[in-house]
Amino acid sequence: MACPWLTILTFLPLLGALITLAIPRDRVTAIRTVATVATALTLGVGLLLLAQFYPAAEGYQFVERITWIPGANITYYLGLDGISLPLILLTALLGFLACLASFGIQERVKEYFALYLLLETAMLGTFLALDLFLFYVFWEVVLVPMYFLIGIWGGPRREYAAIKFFLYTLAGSVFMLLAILFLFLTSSPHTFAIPELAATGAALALRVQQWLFLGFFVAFAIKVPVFPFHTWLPDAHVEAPTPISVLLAGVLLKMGGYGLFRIAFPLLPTAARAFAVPLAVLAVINIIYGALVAMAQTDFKKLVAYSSVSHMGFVLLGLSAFTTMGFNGALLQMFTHGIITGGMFLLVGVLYDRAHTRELAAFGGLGARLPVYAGLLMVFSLASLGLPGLAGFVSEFLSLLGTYAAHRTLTTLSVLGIVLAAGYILLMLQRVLLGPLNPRWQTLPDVTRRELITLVPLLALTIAIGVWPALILDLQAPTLGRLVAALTGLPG
Amino acid sequence: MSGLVGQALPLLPELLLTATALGLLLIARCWSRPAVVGGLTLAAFGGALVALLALVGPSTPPHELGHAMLLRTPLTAFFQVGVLGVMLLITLLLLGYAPLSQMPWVECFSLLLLSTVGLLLLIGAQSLVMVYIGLELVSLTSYLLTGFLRQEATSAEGGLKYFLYGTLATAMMLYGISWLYGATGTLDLPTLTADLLGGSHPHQPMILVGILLLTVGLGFKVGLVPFHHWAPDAYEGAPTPIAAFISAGPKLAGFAVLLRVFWLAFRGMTADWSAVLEVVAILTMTLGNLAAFWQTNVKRLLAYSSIAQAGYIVIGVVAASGTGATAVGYYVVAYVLMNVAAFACVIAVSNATGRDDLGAYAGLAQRQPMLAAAFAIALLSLAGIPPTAGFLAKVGIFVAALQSGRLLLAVAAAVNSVIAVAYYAVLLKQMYLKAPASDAPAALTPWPLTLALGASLAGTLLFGLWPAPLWGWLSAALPTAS
Repeated sequence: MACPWLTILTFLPLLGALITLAIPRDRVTAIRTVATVATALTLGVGLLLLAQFYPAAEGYQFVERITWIPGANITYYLGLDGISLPLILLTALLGFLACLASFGIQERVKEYFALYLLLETAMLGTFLALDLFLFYVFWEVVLVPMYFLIGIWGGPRREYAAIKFFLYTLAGSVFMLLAILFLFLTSSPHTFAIPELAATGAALALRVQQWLFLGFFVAFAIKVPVFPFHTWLPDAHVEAPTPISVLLAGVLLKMGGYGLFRIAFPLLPTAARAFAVPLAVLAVINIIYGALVAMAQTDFKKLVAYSSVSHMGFVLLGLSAFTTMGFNGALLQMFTHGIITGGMFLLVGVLYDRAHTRELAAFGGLGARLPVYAGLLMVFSLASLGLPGLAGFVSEFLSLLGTYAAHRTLTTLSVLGIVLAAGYILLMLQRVLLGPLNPRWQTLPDVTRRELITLVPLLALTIAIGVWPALILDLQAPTLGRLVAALTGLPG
Repeated sequence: MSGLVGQALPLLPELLLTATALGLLLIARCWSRPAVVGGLTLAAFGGALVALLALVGPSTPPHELGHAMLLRTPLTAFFQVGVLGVMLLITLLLLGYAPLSQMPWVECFSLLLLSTVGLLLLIGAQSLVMVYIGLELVSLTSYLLTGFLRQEATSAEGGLKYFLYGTLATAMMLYGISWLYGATGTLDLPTLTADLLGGSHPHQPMILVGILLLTVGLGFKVGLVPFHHWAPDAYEGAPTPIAAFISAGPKLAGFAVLLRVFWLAFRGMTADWSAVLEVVAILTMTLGNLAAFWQTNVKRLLAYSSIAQAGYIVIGVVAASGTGATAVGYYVVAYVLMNVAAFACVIAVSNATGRDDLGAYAGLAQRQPMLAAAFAIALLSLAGIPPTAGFLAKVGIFVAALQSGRLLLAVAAAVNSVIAVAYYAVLLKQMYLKAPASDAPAALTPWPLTLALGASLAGTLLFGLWPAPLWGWLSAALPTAS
């Protein structure tokens, strides 16, 4: 039997969590070390999978499948393909870097890292599960540690933000559960396996498919988040501690996009095509509305949070195209948004740790005082606004280009989002870095070495993907080509 | 002599419990320690459990007992084993309950044993008279047990309310039984089943009245809206282990009877009664969940929570199918385990503080991380979050509803399970998000309490991760002839 790499990857963090639980709570250094080692090993396994992954191969790789609950034909079924691999790498990378960034957590350290590691296991499991039941279990398990991580270590309005996040996401998921169970009951023989359910879903009448699609879509749209289901996001992102904001924006939002790629589209292809225009319309609203609201923000973190709403609109836009280019743009956008916004949240955290405020109006002139910080902020910000040569540009461009043929007017409107992004990003840079220095910040120290370690890998990736997008595109393109071919009935 | 033994042997579990209950009353005064009497009670429950398992295997054919008044099948044995298992846990809870010494504890254990006999009779009832007798035996003992904290006004109030509602409900049920008897001339459930199988009966309206009144009695026992008003007061007033008992035991037996009477005996008239129960299910879930949110007393909160849980379980009965029955069986077991775990945590906190309000739980996670984690798992299971038994239980109910084409019911249950999280999270918030009060004493967990908590929690997690044995037992136990 082959080595169960995916199980090792998924449960390494959980193992770390169990070890941290066994350590006395005042031995903070030991706890941090265990967590760091666990997340580093997870990243190592992720890179190992990358090295052994064969992009052109059809179907899933590293597949593991054993019966879990025989009576209902529920299986423990994991697999990796070009859609999940980039997200696995993103999760493992951000999981490791945000763990380093978590060294700033001073209170209840043991509980923090135990929950943090449980969260990482649940996130990885969500991206790897090929059995809908298992997928749902991981999907739901994400909520619990996230509730505590926001609620215990968050900002002043943490209790409100945590319960709002929990209830919003749960409200979406229960409808997904009903849709999953409906598919299960329709399939013959009854199964939860995603590859086998594709035939079941595709054979359903359009009307039924549409209802099921809506069931899944509510769950995924809340996670993405798609307007008007986005209102939990600014609260959760702003109140969460920095490393958790990174994971929220970097990984949790991708779970929604991933669900569309993995489940809603392939299982319910006719409904997905029928909803192409509404999806594109929602995407445009996300892009423009998110950008406009971001422009109005006076709080640095809120600005980044709303920019996420805008950027995630490009994922939805690319998905509504049903072209290989659009899908590639959408999936790449998830990856690039993860690293860029992850970096942005880390930078917001760096500033907040020092100044204890995030009011943009309070800053100014930091460019001269904190040169390293200013340099990092410039690169990530420009990547966020879509400057050619950096990662954000490639994915947004692909997404727009892939969609243009399908929805001309809507795509043209979406370009406005990039213009607006330039507006709010440059305005932010100006207010933080330029102008006269507020005398309060005369003594602010520049970025420390630990902070630099968390930021540099993201910076390197942002530039690398911007210059050489094939780095990620080559991994995902074959799988996406087959997905588009299956959805449109044309050879990819 | 051998004839008598031959007749008594199949009833050994019931007889053993009755004999112990009466024996305790007579001779237990000689020992002045609750541990001894509690130990005897545990032994009686354990003995009855072993006897039952020895009497009924998975392939034992159904057989009648006691002049066709009782029936033993693998399915009744499933619920009876569940009841006896729960009673072991409840006895442990009582032994770990600090105010036990202020109660007449000999009578307490004795009544608990008698109440269990009632539950076993109720589950095995083959005749409507037996249903009534079983129900009354459970009810009368429960009223007394609820009022057992004699120096507390709330306890007396809870017991009295329980009694007043209960007598009304059982009287209505008896009245309903008389309508059924008037219409069909029989109280025997198999004869009744055969009579009603065609779907039409010359005295159809009379039978419907009878069924409706019967629903009142059973609905009262499992706490369905609108027969639920007693529950919050009874839970709040009763000694906490007794609250755990009335939230667990009668639910197990009540749902066994609901399945027996509605799904099996009235299966010729499913369309009529399922319409009524569907409305009841929706009302029960919604009202229970909405009311729970406003509670500041943990026992009252758990009371409304168990009302809501009963609402979910009824859906399995409404589905009127093998899937539905399996869902009911699994859910009741899961519910009982997680609810007993939750009550064990409540006892641990009130043992030390004497308080049951939400404030007593502030910062529990920092004072007693293990206890808080245990309570959190129980609450998450009640809320239906995976990978706990409570999640699989909800899934089973959803499947049963969807399979029987009751989409509205499935959606109502789904929406309700979101609302429910709001109030379970209130407790999570108190334990984890709030800072502990500086003067809060540490919770007190004597070893019987720890044992009960550990066992019920292990069950909650084990059945959530590995439900195959339980499901296998249940589906093998379902009657195939129907």
